[in-house]
Amino acid sequence: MRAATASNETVAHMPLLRRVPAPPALNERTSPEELLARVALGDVPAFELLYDRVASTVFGVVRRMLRDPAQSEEVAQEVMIEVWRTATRFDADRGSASTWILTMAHRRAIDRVRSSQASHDREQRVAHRDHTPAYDDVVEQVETHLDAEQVRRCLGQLTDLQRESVTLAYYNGHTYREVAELLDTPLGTVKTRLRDGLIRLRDCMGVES
Amino acid sequence: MSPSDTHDVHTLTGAYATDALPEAERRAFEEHLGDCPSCRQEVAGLVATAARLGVAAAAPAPPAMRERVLSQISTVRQVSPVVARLEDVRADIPWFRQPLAVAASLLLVLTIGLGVFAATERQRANDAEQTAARITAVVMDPDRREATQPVSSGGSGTVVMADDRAVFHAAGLPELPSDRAYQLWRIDKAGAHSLGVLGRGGDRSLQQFVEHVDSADKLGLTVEPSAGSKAPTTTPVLVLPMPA
Ligand SMILES: [Zn+2]
Repeated sequence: MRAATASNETVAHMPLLRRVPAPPALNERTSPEELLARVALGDVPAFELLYDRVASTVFGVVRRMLRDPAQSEEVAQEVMIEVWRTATRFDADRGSASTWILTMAHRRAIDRVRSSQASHDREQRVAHRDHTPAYDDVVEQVETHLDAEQVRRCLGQLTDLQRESVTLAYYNGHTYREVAELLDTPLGTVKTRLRDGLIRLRDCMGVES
Repeated sequence: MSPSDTHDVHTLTGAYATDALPEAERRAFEEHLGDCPSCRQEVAGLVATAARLGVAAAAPAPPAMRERVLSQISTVRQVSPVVARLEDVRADIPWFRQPLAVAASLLLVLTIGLGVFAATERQRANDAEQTAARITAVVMDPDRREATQPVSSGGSGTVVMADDRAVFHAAGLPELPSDRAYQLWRIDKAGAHSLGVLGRGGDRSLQQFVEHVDSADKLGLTVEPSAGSKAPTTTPVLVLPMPA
C-alpha cells in the first residue's frame, strides 16, 4: 500500500490548503494596479476602466514624440493592446501600473521614431540643427492639469542644459548622442545632465526612489 | 574619442530612463543592472520620474481608438500568467497549447493566490510558488483528465488529474460558522485520509495539490470542527471520483 498523502499532524495546522479571497467589485476608486491584476485574468470590464484611466496619457506621450496624429493613434492603439496582452507580466514590486504602461508607450514610440526612414530624416534634421526647442514646446502644449503644472514647475528648476537634455531625450525621443550633437556638448556631459536632471526632477516631484 | 566617452557606466541611469540609449547600449546597460543593485534602485526612481513627464503630456485620445482597441482585444490571446511567473515550468509547456476552460480557471485562481503571497511573506511565497509549479504541471498536462460536480450544500468541486497527481478546486462554497471548516479527504479502499482543512473565515473557494492518487480513488469534502478531524464526522457535501 502506498504512503498516506497527509499525516494527522497536518490536520491541526492546515498548511496545505490555500485560501483564495473573492475579488472585490470594480469602481472608480479601484487602483490601476488592481485593475491590471484583473486584466491579467482576462477581465474585459476592468480593461475598459483601465483604458479610460490611461489612454489619454498613452496617446499624449506618443503624439508628443511622433507629432503625426494618425501614426500616433496607431502606436497608442498598439500600446493599449500590448497592455491587454502582457498584463500578466506586470510586477507591482518593480513600479506602479502607470509607470509600466507609460514606459511601454515611450519605448514603442521610440521604436517608431528610430525605425528606418524616420530615423534617417531625424539624422538629417539633427545634422541641420533643424529642431524646435523642446522646452518651449512643453510649456506651450501641456494642459492646465495638475501633473502638467508640477512637471512644468519642476522642469523650471533645472539648469538649461539639464532641461534641454531631458526634454530632447524624453519628449523628442533623441538618443543621447543626438542630444550631444544638438546641444553641441560632450557625450559624457549629456549623460551626466540626463542623470542629475532626472534626479532633481524626481526629488522635486516627490517620486519615491 | 573624448575622455568623457569612457564615462562611468553608473552614470547611464538617466539616459536609460529616458530611453536615450541606442539598442545595443541599452542591452549592455540592462546587463549591468542585473549586477548593480544601486543602479537598479536609482533606475526604478528615474523611470517613474520619466513616466511622470509622460503623464504631463496627456492629450485626449480619439474616441474611435477606444472602439478599435476593445474590439481587437477579443482576438488577442493574453500571455499565459504561468509562463510569465514560473520560469521553471516554462520549458515543459508547449506554448501553443491552450488550457481547457476548467484548467484555465484554476490558473486564474493560482495567479490571485500568488499575488497575495508575493505581497506578504517571501518564504511562504516561495513555497506557494513551488506548489503553484506542481499545480501548473498538472493543469497544463496534455494528458490531464477533469471532472466537476456540484457540492450538495452549494458551489462546485473540480478535480484535474495527471498521472498520480491531482489538483482539487472548489468554488462558491457556502460560508460556515466560525467553529466549522471544510476538510478534504482522499478516499481509497482503506478509508478516508485527510488532505487538510480550509481555515476559518469567509473564504468561499480553495484548491489543493494532491500526490499519490490512484484513478480508483475519490475525493471527499466534509464540514468538520475548525481544527479538523482525524476521520470524517459528517456526511460529505461532495464525493468526487477521479476522472476516467
Ligand atoms: Zn551601476
